[in-house]
Amino acid sequence: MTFQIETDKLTRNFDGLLALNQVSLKADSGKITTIVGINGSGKTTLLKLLAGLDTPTDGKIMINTKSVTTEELRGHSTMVFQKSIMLGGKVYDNIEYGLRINKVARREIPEKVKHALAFVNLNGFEKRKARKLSSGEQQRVAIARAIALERDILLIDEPTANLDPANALIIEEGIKEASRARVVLLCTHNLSQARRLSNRIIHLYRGTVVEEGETASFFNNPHDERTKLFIAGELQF
Amino acid sequence: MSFATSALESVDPEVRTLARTLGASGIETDMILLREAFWGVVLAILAAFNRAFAELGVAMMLGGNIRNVTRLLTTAIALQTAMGEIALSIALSIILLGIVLFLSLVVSLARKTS
Repeated sequence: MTFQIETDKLTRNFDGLLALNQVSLKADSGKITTIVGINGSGKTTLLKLLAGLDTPTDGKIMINTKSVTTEELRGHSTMVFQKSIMLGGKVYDNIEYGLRINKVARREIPEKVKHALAFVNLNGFEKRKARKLSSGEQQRVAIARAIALERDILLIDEPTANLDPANALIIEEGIKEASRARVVLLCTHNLSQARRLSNRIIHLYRGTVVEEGETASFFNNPHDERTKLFIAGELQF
Repeated sequence: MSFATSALESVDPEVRTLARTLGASGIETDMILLREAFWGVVLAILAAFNRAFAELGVAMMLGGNIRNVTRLLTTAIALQTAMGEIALSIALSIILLGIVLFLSLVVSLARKTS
């Protein structure tokens, strides 16, 4: 069954600062939809709204064409942040925590943890102290923790910022694998990563969608002048 | 109290956001924040205990050092010193220090092994 998340004229205003302005987009399961844009373009704000961590000032979010509340969104989605946040304790505890609060049967948890770690190539890391891992390994644990929940929507904010190419590659492979069974929305300002991973790209500029399309047409035939400048690396905020 | 508060405040505020994205309810989010600050809170309690345990002035003023009622180690030490029983007061001081050191050691070891 395919799964779809959609926004309709989504707007977020922070005391007069318009972070998102009537953003309408669609993302389907089985595909990676990437939101690109320079810093401050509203990418993270958009992801937080889709994760149910914030409430829009106006507009609505729909799942399979049905309008949903922030509470319902939290039940469908999970988010991986740019800076991975590790809980104290072992890697196992970090992944187990999400499963436990989601009432997964205790006897199923060890297998799910093992499977999630294998997903990001961290087999046998269960007993390692999470906060002692390298930043790349921590980010992989964060992705494993999100994947273990088996939510329909995976939101990923700048997953490989400041990571070495080896870790970035493993994370990208994990994201590709994850996208087969769910909606993946990825935020990045790394255009080569967007080109490698995405099926569809949305360009956000000052809180507004200025261009969207399939990856090939986005890069080869952009229509908006700001997108042309962005691809050329010449767009200023 | 201020130690415990600062222990709670020192927990990365993003932990709350993380818990919510993982599906935690309000209470579960508060619990994970408490868990993250656990050792900070334990150390704050230990510091408060040590401070109260070694208190003399307040114990003397409020309690009055009444035998078998409000006499504490510290007030007993002060009394024995005033009475010239130096050996006994030193022995009591060693017991007091021993208890404080023992508790600190136990907490330190538990923290290391956890």
